[in-house]
Amino acid sequence: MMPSAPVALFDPLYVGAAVLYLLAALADFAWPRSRPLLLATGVLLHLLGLIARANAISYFPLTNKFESFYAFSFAVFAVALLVSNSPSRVHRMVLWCVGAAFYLWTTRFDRGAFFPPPLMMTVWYPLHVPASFFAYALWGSSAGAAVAALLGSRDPAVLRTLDQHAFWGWCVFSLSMICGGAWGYVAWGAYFLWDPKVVWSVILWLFYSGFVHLRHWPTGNRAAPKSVLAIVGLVLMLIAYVGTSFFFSHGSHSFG
Amino acid sequence: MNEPSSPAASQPVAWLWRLLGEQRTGIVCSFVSAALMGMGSLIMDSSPQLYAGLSMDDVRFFFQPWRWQHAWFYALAVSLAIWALSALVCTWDSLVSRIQRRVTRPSAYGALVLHVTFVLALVAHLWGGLKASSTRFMVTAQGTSIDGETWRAVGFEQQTHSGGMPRSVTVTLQRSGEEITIGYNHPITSGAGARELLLGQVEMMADGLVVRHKGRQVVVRPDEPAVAGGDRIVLRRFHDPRRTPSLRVPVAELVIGGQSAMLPMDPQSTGETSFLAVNESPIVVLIQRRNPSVPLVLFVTLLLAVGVGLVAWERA
Repeated sequence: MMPSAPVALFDPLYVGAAVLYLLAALADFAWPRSRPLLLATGVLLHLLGLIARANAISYFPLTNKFESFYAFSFAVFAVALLVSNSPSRVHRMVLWCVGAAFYLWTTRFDRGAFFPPPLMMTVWYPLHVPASFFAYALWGSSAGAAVAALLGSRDPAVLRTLDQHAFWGWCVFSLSMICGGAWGYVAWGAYFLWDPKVVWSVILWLFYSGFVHLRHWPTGNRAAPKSVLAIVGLVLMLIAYVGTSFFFSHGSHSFG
Repeated sequence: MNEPSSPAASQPVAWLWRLLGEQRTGIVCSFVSAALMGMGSLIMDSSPQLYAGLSMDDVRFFFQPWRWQHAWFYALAVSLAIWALSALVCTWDSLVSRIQRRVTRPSAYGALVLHVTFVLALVAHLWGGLKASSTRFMVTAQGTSIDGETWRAVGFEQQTHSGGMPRSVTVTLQRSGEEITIGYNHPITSGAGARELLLGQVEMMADGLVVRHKGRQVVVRPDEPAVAGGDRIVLRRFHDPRRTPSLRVPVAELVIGGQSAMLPMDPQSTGETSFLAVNESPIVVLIQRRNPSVPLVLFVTLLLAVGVGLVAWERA
């Protein structure tokens, strides 16, 4: 195994962001006004942590499972910051829980910063993966709004978020697919492979392509079926992101 | 001149057109396609022996032979075909309606661009899946023929990170005297991307000796005699000290100007003929991909980016 690169200041940034995220969740119940500030500071420390790791390996820090989950949780908390003013606490907390779960999961992995192999050294990689993560985070937010709607929230802002974040997630994911396809072509010679991660990415794209059309179908555009489908989307996203790396046979996207 | 169609004949066509033009047809197809592909993924993962022959983006595999285990794929093909037809009908209806309403906002046409993109993407996938091929070649310093041209591996450069992990691998190839470089993520493409040469693997292999003879330095390979100082030098064989205990170091048996000579492979050796080093040259595995659909895919990619931009603009 290759030696890891030393990452200056990472541990305080890692712990500091975790503490701030925890305080932000508590603030939602005790001091709601301070929540956005705590969350924003946590996101800033998280971003600095990513920059510290990038600096250590002189590349985008997405070379192993620790960094994957660390970067994904950053995307989720950044979107959580975006929906800080959501009128539904359920929506805010579902998204927070997704981010916190992945942040907590990072503790299971080696925190070492490893240099990327040559196949990762392409401009398509730092475009493809972060775009996917932000799309996943937006779909997580859509699912959070869906849970809120299913639990009785009829606030138009929540239902609008359910719709809009699914749509923006689809837009960002489409761009991610373009970059992923370009990378697949230059690295493996094919923009599509029968590889579990690629197949599930296409599944996500097909699913959300249908989902964003629901507003044109009166039967499907009601809050209940739409909410259920948004939660199904979150499950599909988790299979595509986590399931294919842990529970499927190894494909070209296996790492760490 | 067109004859008016009978009401009995036009009724099913009109019904079909109406069905395909409904949003719910496309929506249902999208969810059904996602579900079928999910099912297929689970089946592929649970039957690795059955799908061992499936590689890259191939779709021929599913028809050679037809199997009931691939039912998910056949159903997926039907579902995607209906969805594609529905997308085309919806696009046509929307286009007619927008033109009649004299809509000139470009962003209003974003969804239509995306629908056409989707259909073209499916066509490209099918075309590529049916026609694409991969071939592996091993290219050495001596040369390998690819499509009637001789390719030689003449150089290899590797840059490493400070931790030792390779950062970039570049191989210099020679084709008809012209030098071309290839590396990971840097394939050689032609035909608007339809033909692609990828770097598979690269190793350095000992292929001869670097010797100095009468003050001239030459590389002598087993099948490639060299000339130095007016003498022809032939490398005949090596003698290994593990097999011949009387030897202290490996010895190369040469024929220099018709006379047999034993050359100790010791860099400290001196004399009219001396050993300098073992010569190494790259052995490169190249993967040649041919996929006639790549130019169409490039066009689809461009359309997708434009379509996403337009719908985002419309929604924002």
